[in-house]
Amino acid sequence: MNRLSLSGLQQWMDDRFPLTSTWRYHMSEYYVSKNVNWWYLFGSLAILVLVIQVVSGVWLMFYYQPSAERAFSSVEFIMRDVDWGWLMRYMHTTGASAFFVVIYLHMYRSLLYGSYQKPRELLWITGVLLYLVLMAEAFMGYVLPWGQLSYWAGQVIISLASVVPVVGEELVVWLQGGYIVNEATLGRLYAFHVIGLPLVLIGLTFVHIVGLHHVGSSSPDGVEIKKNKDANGKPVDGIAFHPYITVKDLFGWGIFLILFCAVMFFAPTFGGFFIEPPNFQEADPLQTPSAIHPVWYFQAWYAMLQSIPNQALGVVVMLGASAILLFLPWIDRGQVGSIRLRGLGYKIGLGVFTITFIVLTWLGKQEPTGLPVILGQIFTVIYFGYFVFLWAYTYFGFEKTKPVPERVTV
Amino acid sequence: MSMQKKNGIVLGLGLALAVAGPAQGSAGSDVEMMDPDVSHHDRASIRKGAELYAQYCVGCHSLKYLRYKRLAEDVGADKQWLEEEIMRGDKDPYDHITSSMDPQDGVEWFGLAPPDLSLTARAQGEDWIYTYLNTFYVDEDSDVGYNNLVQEGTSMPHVLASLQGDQKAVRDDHGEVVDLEPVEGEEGRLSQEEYREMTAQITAFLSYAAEPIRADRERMGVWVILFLIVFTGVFYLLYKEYWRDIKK
Ligand code: HEC
Ligand code: HEM
Repeated sequence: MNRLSLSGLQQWMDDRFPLTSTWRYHMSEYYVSKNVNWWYLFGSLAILVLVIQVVSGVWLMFYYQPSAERAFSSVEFIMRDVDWGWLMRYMHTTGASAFFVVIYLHMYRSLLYGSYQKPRELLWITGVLLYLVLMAEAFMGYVLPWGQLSYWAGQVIISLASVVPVVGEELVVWLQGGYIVNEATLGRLYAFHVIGLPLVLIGLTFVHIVGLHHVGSSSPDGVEIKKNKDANGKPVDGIAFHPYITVKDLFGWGIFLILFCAVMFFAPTFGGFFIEPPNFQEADPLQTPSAIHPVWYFQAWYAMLQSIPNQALGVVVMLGASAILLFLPWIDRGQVGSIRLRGLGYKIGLGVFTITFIVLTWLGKQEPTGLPVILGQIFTVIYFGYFVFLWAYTYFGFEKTKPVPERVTV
Repeated sequence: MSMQKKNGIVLGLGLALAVAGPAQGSAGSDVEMMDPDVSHHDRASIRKGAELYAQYCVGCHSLKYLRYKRLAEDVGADKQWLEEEIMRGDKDPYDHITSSMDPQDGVEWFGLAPPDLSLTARAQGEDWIYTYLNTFYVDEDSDVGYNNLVQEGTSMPHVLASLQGDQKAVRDDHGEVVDLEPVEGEEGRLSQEEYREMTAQITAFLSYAAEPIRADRERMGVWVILFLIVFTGVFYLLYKEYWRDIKK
């Protein structure tokens, strides 16, 4: 008779599928430091945004037409004639920018608390890969509405492949499926955007979380809670992810959704930053727009590209700027992770690095002549200089750190 | 203040700065834009603007993404209004707003087919349209007899000249246009104020046409945000309740 009760069903499942054990391992008996702060919210927000993008994206796919002839008008059709189509589209465009806001803050947390350090190197690396794939995903999605900037930004970015020695020009033609960006290009970008890259994103996110739950989250004051366990093997400074972090995250999601909806309902173009005015003009291969620049979240990288006169070098620098992140766990030789314990040099360095990234983002939108170019060069050097500094500062033992506390402080 | 707080503030400030300067508008002209100052919630103005558009503009400019019926619904007008004021003739209310001009004729007459204006308000901005309609000035060298401050060398004739009257350019020593002034003896049927009001209404209509859902979405947004605040409040209480033992 037990077979018919809920626990009977659970037993039936558990004999066939690791349901309860998985729940325990990842939720009710997964322990997180008591004092994780709001910086630790952004990972779960990234998952939320990923879900938002998939749901709204599937909806857009019902009506979007990936052809040069109809792409632009199908988007307007969604905006005007499809019930709630405008909501789905704004959700998707707002979601794209929100994704980057969330991811940049998520990455910044790693810098604040040394999350990339041992034993979380692979977490950091899967994270950087996620970031790279996310950039590709966003770029490809941006081309789909086939507005003027979609088209020309697509053209500019794809033609960067021409710097590849010897085969560069042919490579561009091959990638585009023609001599200019055209319908064949659109079809490819569409395929990658709607299925190719999302599969990679979801797969990598899975690996990211599995990896995280193997090593556990860091704590803001640099304590590894696994080092101090009670008799039952539960970390004394840990709390169960479920229900403690789940309720905390739900509250965080609420705050996020308020901000998200405020943008989506009241300022979906965000003053021209999330959806740019020239993109309300249909792509015209014969008419170059007066200024071509990527969306805000790419502008730091674009500023580097623009400020280097030699294009091949510019591309190498731009790619190098994100690739160098992969090596961060080995560049930073610091003995401690959390900024609360680190030396003054690290704090100043990170402050300078932060400002550098913001200035570069701003520069990415300026006309590439005169002062912005010079500033771009200076800040590109500072960007890379930060990593050199960080290595030297920690490798030669200049850093004076505070000792890691025994217990976390709540 | 702790370092991590400071870092947070720096970052927040940066983000705020990044969004501060509006990215609207088209580059190329340094003309100061005029503000039509009509709300997208002002249905009466949009409705009047639609009538004016049907009277003065639709002969050349289509609105290929806007349907007649949608317009009538959104401004709260009936079928009769649609038939008499907007469609004027043998049109289907479910159709998009089309112009009777053959694009080829446009090319012959103006050198280019008059553009569709469905999205102009979003591509160029409301202010731009309003300024455009207010800054035509007499220019003998131009084929259409007029030039325009925000679109130099425009091929659009000043179709509202009989209402506004003619304006001529006031130039500085380098021949740059610095201001416009009325041409004496060429006054229009409307006072300056009336003309501005009229063009503001047309602008309001074009702004509506570029995003018909805008007013509704804002009305809806208020409720959504209110709901989310309540929802988040509940989660906050739940969070406090669960965490009471932990934050001792
Ligand atoms: C006789 C035909 C004709 C009429 C009537 C007409 N226009 Fe135009 N309009 C044009 C042409 C031609 C252009 C293209 C100008 C150019 O690009 O040089 C144009 C351009 C415009 C533009 C600029 C579009 C852009 O993106 O560059 C706006 C805005 C505009 N017209 C508004 C109006 C309004 C409002 C009315 C009604 C009051 C109107 N037009 C009536 C022919 C006309
Ligand atoms: C789709 C994108 C991503 C998703 C869904 C995601 C998800 C998560 C989640 C849920 C966590 C645990 C909660 C938290 O610590 O915030 C986490 C932790 C982490 N993530 Fe990500 N992440 C993404 C991208 C990235 C990126 C781009 C990086 C860095 C380049 C990164 C690096 C890390 C690191 C190092 C941790 C461990 C942090 C610690 O314990 O201190 N992640 N991620």
